[in-house]
Amino acid sequence: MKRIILVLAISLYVGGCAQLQTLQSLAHFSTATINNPVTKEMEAQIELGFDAAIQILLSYRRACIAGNADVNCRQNIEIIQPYTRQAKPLIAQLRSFVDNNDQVNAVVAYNQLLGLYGNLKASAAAVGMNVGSLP
Amino acid sequence: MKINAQEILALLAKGLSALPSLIEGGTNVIDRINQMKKLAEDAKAGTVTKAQIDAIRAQTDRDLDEFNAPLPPKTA
Repeated sequence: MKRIILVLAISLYVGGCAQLQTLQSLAHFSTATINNPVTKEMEAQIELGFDAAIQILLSYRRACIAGNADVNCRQNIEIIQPYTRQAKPLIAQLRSFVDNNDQVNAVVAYNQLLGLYGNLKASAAAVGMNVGSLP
Repeated sequence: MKINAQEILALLAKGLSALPSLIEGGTNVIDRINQMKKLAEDAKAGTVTKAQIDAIRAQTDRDLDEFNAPLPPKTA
């Protein structure tokens, strides 16, 4: 059974990787600066990147609630949640700055969100979950 | 080593129960990647709409809210 799940997970992951490689030629997340301002498209791209990671975490959470995940799942989710909870207000701020073309603050919020993604990824990896990388 | 058929069946059942959520998670990831690709292409073409951005924002909010919610108490 574990093998079947592993094969499925790998198939989906490989499919996702192929998609990501194509994506890398189109979109790239780099540190924002005043000379590289945060556009609405950049803001939406980083939201989608975050949301892709959240999909993996949501599957885990749903399996955990249904009693189909590992015995440590509740604890693992509670380790990751502080990072995803920080993301919500940060994303709201970023949207507001971008909508009002406040580039000074938009650049700061965007870069903080990039850093938060790194922390989220590391905390998920610490409990054995790979949530991928931003292209 | 003695094989306990009931334990194996219970493990199989548990694994099978987890499959739909794993598959759903995987397809949702691919969906988000496809949305990223489309957004990048539209940005290049200058055809990104407000509705497109609003839909992405609403989707992120919904998913973050679900994950951030406190876990319900264990049922069993």
